[in-house]
Amino acid sequence: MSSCRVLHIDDDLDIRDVVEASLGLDSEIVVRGCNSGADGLAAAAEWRPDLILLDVMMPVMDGPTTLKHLQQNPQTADIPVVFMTARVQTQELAHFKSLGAAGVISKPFDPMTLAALVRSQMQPANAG
Amino acid sequence: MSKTFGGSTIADYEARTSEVAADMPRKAAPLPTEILQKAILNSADFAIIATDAKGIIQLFNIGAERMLGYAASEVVNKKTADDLHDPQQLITRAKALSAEFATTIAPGLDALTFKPSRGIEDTHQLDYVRKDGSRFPADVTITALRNDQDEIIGYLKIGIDKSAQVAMIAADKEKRRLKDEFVATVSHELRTPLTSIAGALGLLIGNAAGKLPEAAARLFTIAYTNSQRLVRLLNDILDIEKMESGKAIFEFKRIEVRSLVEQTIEANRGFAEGCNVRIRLDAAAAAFDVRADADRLVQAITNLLSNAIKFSPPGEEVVVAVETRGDTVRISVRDHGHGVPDEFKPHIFEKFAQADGTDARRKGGTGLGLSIVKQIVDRLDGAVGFEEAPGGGAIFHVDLPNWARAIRAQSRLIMKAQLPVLLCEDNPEAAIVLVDRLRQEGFLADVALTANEAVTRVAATPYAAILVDLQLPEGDGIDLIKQLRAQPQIYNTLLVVLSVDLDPAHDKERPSTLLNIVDWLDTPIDVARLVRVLDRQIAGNGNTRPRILHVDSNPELLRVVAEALGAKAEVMSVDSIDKARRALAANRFDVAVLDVALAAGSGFDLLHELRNSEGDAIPLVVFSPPDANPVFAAQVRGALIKSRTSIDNVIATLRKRLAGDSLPSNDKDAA
Repeated sequence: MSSCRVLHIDDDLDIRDVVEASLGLDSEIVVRGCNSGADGLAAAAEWRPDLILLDVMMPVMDGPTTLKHLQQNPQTADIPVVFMTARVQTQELAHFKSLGAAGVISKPFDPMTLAALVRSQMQPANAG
Repeated sequence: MSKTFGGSTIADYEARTSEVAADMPRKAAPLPTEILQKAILNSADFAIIATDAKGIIQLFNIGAERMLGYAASEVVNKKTADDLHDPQQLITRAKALSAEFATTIAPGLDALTFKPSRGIEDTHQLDYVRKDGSRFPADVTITALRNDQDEIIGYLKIGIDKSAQVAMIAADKEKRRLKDEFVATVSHELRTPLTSIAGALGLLIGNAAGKLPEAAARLFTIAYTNSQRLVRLLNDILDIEKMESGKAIFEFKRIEVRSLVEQTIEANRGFAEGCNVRIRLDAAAAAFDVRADADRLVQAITNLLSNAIKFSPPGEEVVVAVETRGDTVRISVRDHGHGVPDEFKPHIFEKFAQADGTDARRKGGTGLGLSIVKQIVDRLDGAVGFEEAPGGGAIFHVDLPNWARAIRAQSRLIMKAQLPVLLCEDNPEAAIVLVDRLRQEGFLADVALTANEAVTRVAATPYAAILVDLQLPEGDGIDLIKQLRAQPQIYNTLLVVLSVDLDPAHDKERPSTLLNIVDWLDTPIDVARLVRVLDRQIAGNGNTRPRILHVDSNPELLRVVAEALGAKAEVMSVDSIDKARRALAANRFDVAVLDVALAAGSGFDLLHELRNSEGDAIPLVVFSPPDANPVFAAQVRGALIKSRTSIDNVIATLRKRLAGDSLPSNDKDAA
C-alpha cells in the first residue's frame, strides 16, 4: 500500500480523534485534523492532501460550502473530497455526488474498516 | 389586556348595551326597527364605520371603539376612513387596482372606495391601525350607500378582526417548523456523540488499543452492540417520521424481485450465522418484476428477515419464497419460532409493539421494524400480512402488484405517484389550504413563503412542478420565475403561475386561468437561451410537428427565432395582438412566445387567451424589458393575476400537464 495523506475536517474533536485512531490502523495513512471549514481550506491549500474527509454539518461554513471553495481554488480543485454525514438516503447521495464529492461515508462508521473504505474512495480518482 | 380603550370603557359598553336591553321588554312587539338596529350596531363584534360621500367618518360603533382604541367622538367628523389604515398598504392596493382597471387610482380613500363606488362587491384583507399605533389584520367589506336617486351619499365599512385566525395559522406553521427542526437537531445532536462512542468502542473491541482482557472485551462488546442498537433506533425513528410526514422520496424503478431477495439474503447471512440460524431462498422462487424503490424494498425484506432470524431457535432455518398469485407478487419469510401470540396479533404493525418486550430488546430489536415494513409496503401500493406456519412458526408476507398491474395503475393514477411539488405563496392561509389539498391528492407538497425560501428549496429538491403566486414579497413572482429558470436543474420543470381563489363557490363560472410560464427573458433577448428553452419544450412531441406562436413587434427577432427553430417546428410569427388572436383561433400551438411590451394595455388579455381547444394553458415564454418602470411592472403583474383561479383548477392542471409529460427523472423507468 502506498502512503497517503488524509485531511479530516470536522468540528467535533472526539470524532476527529476516533477517525485519526481508525485511519491510524493503516500505517501508511497520515491524518491531519481541522475543526472548521476555514481552517480546512487553508490546510488543504498548504498541505495538498491526497484526500479530504469532510463533515457535512458544521457551524459557520458547512461541508457543501467548504467543498465549493475547495473546487474554486486551483490548488485544491483536484483533491478528491469524501463527505462524512449522518446516514444518507439515495437521493441525498445523488445530491452530494452532484456537488462533486468523490464519495460519502455515513456516520457512525465502522472504525475497523474506515481505512479500507477511505482507500477505496481514492481508487476512481487515482484511476483517472 | 387593558379594559380601557381611548376613553370608552367596558363599563360604558355594558351600560349602553343594558340600556338597549332594558328598553326592549317595555315595548310591545313588533320591535321598533330603530332600536333593533341600534342593538345590532352596538353589540356586533365588528368594527362598523359609516362615512359621508367624502369618506369623513359619521358613525363609529362600539365594536370599532373596542378594536381601534378611539372613542367615537375622536373620529366622527374628524377623520376619514383611510386614516385608520397603513398608508403603505393603501399605496400597494391602489397600484393593484390601477393595474386591474387600467386607470390611475390614487392611494388613500380612493383605494378603499373605487370598487364599491362602481357597484363591485369588495371584501379584502387589510390591516387596521389602532390609536396607539399597533395594528391588526381584518377582513374589510365596503359598500356604497345610495339615496333614492342612486347617488352615493356615503360608505359603510365593516371590519372583522382576523388576528386570532392569522395567529393560529402562524402558530400552526411555527409548530411544523419546530417539529422539522427538532427532528433534524435530534438526528445531528444524537448522532455526533454516538459516532464517537461507537467508533471508540469499535476500536477497543477490535484490539486497536492493545489486546483486551477477556472480561473487559465482553463488557466492551455489550457497550458496542448497544451503541449500534441506539443508532438503529435513531435511524428507525427518523425513517418512520419521514414516511409518516410524506417526506420520504421513493425512487420507483422496474425491479426483478428474486435477485433483489437473493442479495438481501446474502446481506443478512452474517447476522443469521451469528444467531446460528440458516437462511435460504425457496427453490421454487421464480423471477418477477415489480415497480418499487429498490432500497426501500430491501429495507422491508431486511426487517422481516431480521425478525425471523431473531425469533428462530438456534439451529433452525428461515425460508424465503417468491411466488406469483394472479397479478400479485408475494415475498414471504417463514420462521420456526413460537409464532405470534394471539393477544398481540392486532397490534403487530404498531410502533414500539413487541410481543415480549424483554425478549425482543435482548435481541436488539427497536420495536419499529414491522411498522416500517408496513409504511414502506403501503407506499409501494402493496399489502403486508402474516399467518401461522404449518408445523409452527410464522410466515410474514409482502404482496406487491406485478409490473404490468403497477403500470396499469400508474397510468390511471399517474398523479398519485407522490410527485414533489413546490408552492411559492406568501399568504399563509392560502398556502395551508392549498398544500393540504395537494397532499390529499397525493402530491408531496412543500411550501415556500418567500422568494428566497423558494430558491433554497429548489436547490435542494427536484420538484416535478413549481407553483408561483405573483404577489410574493421580497422580489415578486416574476423575478422569482427568472431566478428559478436560471438554475439548470429546473430548466424543464413545470412552472405554473397562479393566484388562488379559496372560495369554492367561484369554481363553476371561471375557466382555468393558470399560466404555464416556461421562461421569462429580459430584452434584449439571449437568443441561444431562447432556442435552448424552446428546443426542450418541443422535444418529445412524438410524430407531430410542434407548432410555436411567436408574438413580437421586433421583425429581426421574429426572423431569428423562425430560422433557429424552423427545422424542428412550425413557427408562426405575428407582429400584432389581433394577428395573434386570429392565429390562436385557427391553430393549435405547443408553445407561445410573447413580448409583453407589445401586449401592453388591453393586449394583456391575450395572456389569458393563450390556451388550446381543451382550455389548457399553452406553455409560454415571456419577453419583457429589463427594469421596466414600476407602473408597467405592476400592470404586467396585474394582468397575470387578473383572474383568480380555484384549487380544483390547480390540481386538474397539474394532473393533466404532469401526466402528459414523461414522468420526472426519478421515475423514468416507468415511463
